[in-house]
Amino acid sequence: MIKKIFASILIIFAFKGCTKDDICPPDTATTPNLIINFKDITNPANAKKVNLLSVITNNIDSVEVVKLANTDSIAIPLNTNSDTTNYLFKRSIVSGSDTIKNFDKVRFVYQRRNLYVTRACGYKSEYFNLDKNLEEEGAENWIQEIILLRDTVNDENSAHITVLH
Amino acid sequence: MMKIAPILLCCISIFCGTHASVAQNNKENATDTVPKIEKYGIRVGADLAKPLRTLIEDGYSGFEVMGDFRVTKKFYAAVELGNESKDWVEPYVSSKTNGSYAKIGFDYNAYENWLGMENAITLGLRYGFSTFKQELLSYRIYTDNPAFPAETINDPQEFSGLNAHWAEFILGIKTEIVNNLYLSINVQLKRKISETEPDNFANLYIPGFNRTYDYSEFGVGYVYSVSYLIPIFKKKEVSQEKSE
Repeated sequence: MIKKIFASILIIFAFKGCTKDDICPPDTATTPNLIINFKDITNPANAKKVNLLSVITNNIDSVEVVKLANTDSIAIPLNTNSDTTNYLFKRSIVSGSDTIKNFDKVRFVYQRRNLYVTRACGYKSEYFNLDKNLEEEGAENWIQEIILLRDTVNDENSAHITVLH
Repeated sequence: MMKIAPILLCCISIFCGTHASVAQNNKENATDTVPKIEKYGIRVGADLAKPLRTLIEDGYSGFEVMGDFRVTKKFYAAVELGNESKDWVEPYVSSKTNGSYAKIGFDYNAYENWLGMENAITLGLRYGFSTFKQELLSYRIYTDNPAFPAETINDPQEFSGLNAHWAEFILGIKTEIVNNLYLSINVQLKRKISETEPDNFANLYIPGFNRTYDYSEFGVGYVYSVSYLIPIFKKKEVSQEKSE
């Protein structure tokens, strides 16, 4: 009888150990990224890859969130500590030994709402009233137009922004 | 058909086995002429672990008192009352909970004592109820992207008037160390029935229930207590075999 009781006690405390509650599982829906797809200015129905795209945060300690990618769709984070996020969208065209770089400044403005997720993940931010702004440089812009598709960023199911180039 | 045979054999052997032991018990009782005296009364006690944790653990304070009353030879009506205050710190959230709780139910003594001994191996069931308040002290926004490291948001919010209900299974051992003084240890498995959740937050800790889990309604706990039996009356247990 005593042995059985100690066995039960051991079982209870063994299962008490490591659980999903201790680390935030990667498949949890936490703060959503901004989904941007790139389309052709001459035919806006067609996706058009940027060759090669880099996206860099436009602040003092800049971080490259997209590195020299040949892609037509990206997911980038928005700043959870501020209501604006500034990015540099860099296009690098490699021709022979030369690389032609073109920087376009894009600003996203929004409002935030913090929602509880779980004890291990803490909170997430959702963004609403999203607006975008492209700094005009005339013919120097490689981005022709930015179209807002969804002004609420609360999931990553489809694109929020389309960039025509 | 091939599978049924060993099962049947197993059942038969269990039946025969228990039958044999029952027969043995009857024989022993029949020759035993000293009547067993069973004490009935109210047992009151206090948890030793919670005051000790109050002294040595940062961010915890609590106490629990308990009482039970022997209703029949094997069953005891039991009640526990307590109060707890606990700081709960997770990497992304930190909170402080405090409140009171009550548990009511019964214990079943599954241990057959030798003559003159008053020990117990108890199986218990309780209904638990807690009212508490919870304070969200600070939190962070979860991010796995290094571009914008999350800042800690210190915006304390208090959620009061919260409550929770749960059912509890208790497995415990009681030993009489000196006359009428008992030392007990038990482990508890709890299952949440309902709770009021704070708006845009969750109950990380419930007094009496202990920490909660996001993906499970279960909780665990333990008590290490000392209790004193106030005897009210004694009952002589007369073996039925003797009258036959």
